[in-house]
Amino acid sequence: MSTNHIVENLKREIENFTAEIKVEKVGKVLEVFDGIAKVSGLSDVKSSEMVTFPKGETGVALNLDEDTVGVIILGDFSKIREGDEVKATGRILEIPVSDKILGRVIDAIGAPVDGKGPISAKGGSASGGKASLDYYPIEKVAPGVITRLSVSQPVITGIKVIDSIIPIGRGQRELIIGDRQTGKTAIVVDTILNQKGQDMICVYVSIGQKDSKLRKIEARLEEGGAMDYTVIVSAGASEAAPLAYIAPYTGVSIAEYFMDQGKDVLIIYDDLSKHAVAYREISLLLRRPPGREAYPGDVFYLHSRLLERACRRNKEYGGGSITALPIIETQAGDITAYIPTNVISITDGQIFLETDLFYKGIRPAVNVGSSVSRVGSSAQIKAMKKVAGTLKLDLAQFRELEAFAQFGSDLDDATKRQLERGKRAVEVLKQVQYAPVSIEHQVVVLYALTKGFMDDIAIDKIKEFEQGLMEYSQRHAKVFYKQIKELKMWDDKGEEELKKVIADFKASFK
Amino acid sequence: MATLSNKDIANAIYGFLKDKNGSRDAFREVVKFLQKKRLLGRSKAILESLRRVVNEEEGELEAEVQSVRSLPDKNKKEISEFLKRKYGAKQLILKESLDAGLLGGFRIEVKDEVIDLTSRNKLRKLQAHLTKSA
Repeated sequence: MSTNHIVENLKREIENFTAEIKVEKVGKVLEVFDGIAKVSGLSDVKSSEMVTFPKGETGVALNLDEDTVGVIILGDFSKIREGDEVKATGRILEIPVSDKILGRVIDAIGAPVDGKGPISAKGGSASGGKASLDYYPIEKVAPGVITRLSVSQPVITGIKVIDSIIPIGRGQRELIIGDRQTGKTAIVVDTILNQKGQDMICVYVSIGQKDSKLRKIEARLEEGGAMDYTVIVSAGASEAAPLAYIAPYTGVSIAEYFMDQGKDVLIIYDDLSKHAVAYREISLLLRRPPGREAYPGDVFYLHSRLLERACRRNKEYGGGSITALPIIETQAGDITAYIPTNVISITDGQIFLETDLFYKGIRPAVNVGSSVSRVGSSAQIKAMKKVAGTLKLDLAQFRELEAFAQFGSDLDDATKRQLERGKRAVEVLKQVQYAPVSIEHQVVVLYALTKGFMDDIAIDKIKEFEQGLMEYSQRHAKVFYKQIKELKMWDDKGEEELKKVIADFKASFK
Repeated sequence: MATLSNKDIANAIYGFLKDKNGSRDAFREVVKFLQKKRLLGRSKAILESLRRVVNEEEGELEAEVQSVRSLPDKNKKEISEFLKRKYGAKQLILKESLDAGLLGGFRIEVKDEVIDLTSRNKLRKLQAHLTKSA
């Protein structure tokens, strides 16, 4: 573009520009502190309305008092001075959305932070696309009963213990809860990696996480080719509490944008404990009365209105779903603290991770006894239901027997058998990170386990056996694999074939 | 008991003073009341509210006009008439202030509303317009 051309363009723009004259509602900053501003005036401002400061920062009106308005500042509050003029915009806080957002890392107000340039509108190109961006409000009332459909399709996480015992369905809200360093993030990263080719869009919301950790996750997703269908919303540990507070709502608005196109979306909130802490900070600064653990009274509503937006819509309302995997970090395994109990009661089940199991080498460190999925079983495929049907019970009985077995060595055969089976089940359910297993493989392995094919394999050989069996049966049990893939269940013919294949492999294994 | 808002107190004081025709004793009683209720710490805010209540009740309106140079009387009169019509006020108290930073034109502030007709505002809007479409 030549200089003349630019000047011509500018001239035209300036000629066409007409400044609109209108009465504006303004306020004055009375005080600013820690990401909060007290503003006088703004008599007509709505709750959650966006306001703008002179240097271009955005704020959200949260506290509407008699003469003043409590505003949370999204961005750098150090530039805001006492006496600055604040303008109301008349709009609820909204973020730009577009299909081009996939593969990007954005901050809590939708601006890219990955250094890959601005996000262009749908159909537009990065440089001067003509189409304008869509804007979605970050606060929205969750879809009503009439528009919903019950959960019936699975989210395949590729993690054996989850897909078999605590299955997750599309549109479900499944909490992942555990102490620090128990592999909570590992589970969700594995789940995102496994969504490749499963027609799922993933939104990873990082709240109060270290930037180094987020960078690592992003690099891992990039490496696994998962960024093609993933958006990362980041409100890091160094950012102000207001950004951490709105980040999950930004994430779910992006998810809704894709759901409105009839797509299935998986959203991860990592983690909601830090979100609650950020909200507590804001509330205390706004002088709202503290309640239990100094959280404000509406901290339940904070999470319930967020998680209620996860849903599966029926065909008349465009289909699509949002599956939510919130994460909660507990302190010393205390799931009876305020926030954990709140979120447990909101969600449709929880995956409970334990430090003890983690250090025993059982990874993922899922405590099968305390974990549940209240609606997921109706989303499980038939074949998986069949092989995993008794697994949870077996494992629970095994845990009980294991405690008993420590006291005496004289056990009857049935008990011994059950103990041996249980040990093998635990072994089979172990899984290393970044190694998702396809649902067909899972069915084969669990079939071999529950039908007793592994009973005479030494415990330390189980992993090797499992690996070998998966490779061998994929090559030789073609009918069975095809049936699982297409019909989600096997028939007698498939079962016969699989039995023979497992027997053959076992013979060669020894 | 819910805390009394400044506006409620101001309304009550206004009503009381009006009943007593603003006698000296009435004022003394108001101060006594405030002291008894331990509200003297808030007296500044209450006074501010009272001023607003009085203005509203008496149909008085305060407005501020900012400009680079002092406006001619004719313009001021026009502005006064316009504001009186717009806000339905009986009386208008027009304050004037000068600010060279406005570059040109003038702006009117009434309560928390602003009508900004300054060159500075126009330039800012033009800047926003030009940078937004890029």
